[in-house]
Amino acid sequence: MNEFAVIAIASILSSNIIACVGVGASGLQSEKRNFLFMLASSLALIVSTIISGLVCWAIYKYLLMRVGAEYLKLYLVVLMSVIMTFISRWVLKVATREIFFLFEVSYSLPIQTAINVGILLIVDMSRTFLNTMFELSMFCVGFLLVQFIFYAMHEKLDNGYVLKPARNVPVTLFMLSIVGMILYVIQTIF
Amino acid sequence: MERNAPVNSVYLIALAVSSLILVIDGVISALIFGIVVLASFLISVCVVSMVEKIADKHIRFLLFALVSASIITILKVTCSYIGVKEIVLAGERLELAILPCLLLAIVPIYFEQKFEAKEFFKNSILIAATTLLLILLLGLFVDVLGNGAFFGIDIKGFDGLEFFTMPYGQLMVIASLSVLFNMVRRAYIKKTRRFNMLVEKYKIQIREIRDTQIRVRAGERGEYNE
Repeated sequence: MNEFAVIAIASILSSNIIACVGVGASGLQSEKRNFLFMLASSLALIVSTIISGLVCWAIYKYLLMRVGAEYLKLYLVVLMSVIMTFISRWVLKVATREIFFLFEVSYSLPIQTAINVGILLIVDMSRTFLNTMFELSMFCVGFLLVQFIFYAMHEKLDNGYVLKPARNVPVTLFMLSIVGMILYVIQTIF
Repeated sequence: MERNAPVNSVYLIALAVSSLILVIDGVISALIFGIVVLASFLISVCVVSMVEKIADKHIRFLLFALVSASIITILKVTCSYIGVKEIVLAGERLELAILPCLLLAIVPIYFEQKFEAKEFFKNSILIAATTLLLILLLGLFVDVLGNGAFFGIDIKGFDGLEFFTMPYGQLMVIASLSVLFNMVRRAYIKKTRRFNMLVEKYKIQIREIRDTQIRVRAGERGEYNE
């Protein structure tokens, strides 16, 4: 139980590094104020990450590790991430036209692929199935939390006075840095 | 479907570099990661440019991802055979170099409206060089301000601040540097726009002078005919 708690805390906190790419990337999106789109794309990302993580774990553990080809992990992760992102894009296309349109004009496919690859590379796949899946799901929880927190912050920052060269991604990175400091303090206390 | 308006490439570069904050702990590791990102990005872009006219942008991105994964895998295996400690250590986490490559690929694959080889490669080289510069600057800040050293040599009387070795400190450095880069970019764009406007203005003036000359000549010819 203690081991799971350690994994949960470490995953939620370290996922912020990857989340910063996702959160910062929302600054690139033209329709960033659409809450439904943010929710749908985050859920699509989480589902695709978990499924691709499951497949990657199985192939890595039972094939690559047995034949001593661990160095092919990157290739496997990229391939699975791209396939799953394409599937989630197709699901969005079939489900809702409006969200699919936002998905297309917001460069969501490359951004989601990058985040998916980042999460799968950080996760330790040599552990047991339960530990890996738990770590993966905690990463996703951390990512979703950061997305929600920063969605509200973006609203405030866009309306506030910020110097022109510092708008959008730089100010998001400043904010992430401050949030990182707070999380670090919390981590050292516990 | 129409493409979105091109976004500021400095934002993408800042995001790309911020995905490396877990692995950069000095100038040497920054240099290794920077070179790997530069090499894999440029080679993959060159490969993808071959199918520019026959493949969809998403397919090109898929191809880009697979090519850069192959290059980084080869470099990772190569690093383990080189007997230099820093390279072997960096090689252990070299796979994370694919994240900046994937993010930077948005510019040449999704922004270019019309493929022109010269512009395509010029933009790609510019983006790769700026990314390398930002990574190196980040490494330098971490080394000098965080570790209190310069290329592994300790600076006397300064032990460094822990803040700059932590991810949040590095994010702060990247954010500050991206503001600086953005200011340079804005100044350059402003200057170029002003120059283009001046060229347009002179073009209009030349056209007007030519029209007047033609009219005068036509008038003279008319008088001559009469």
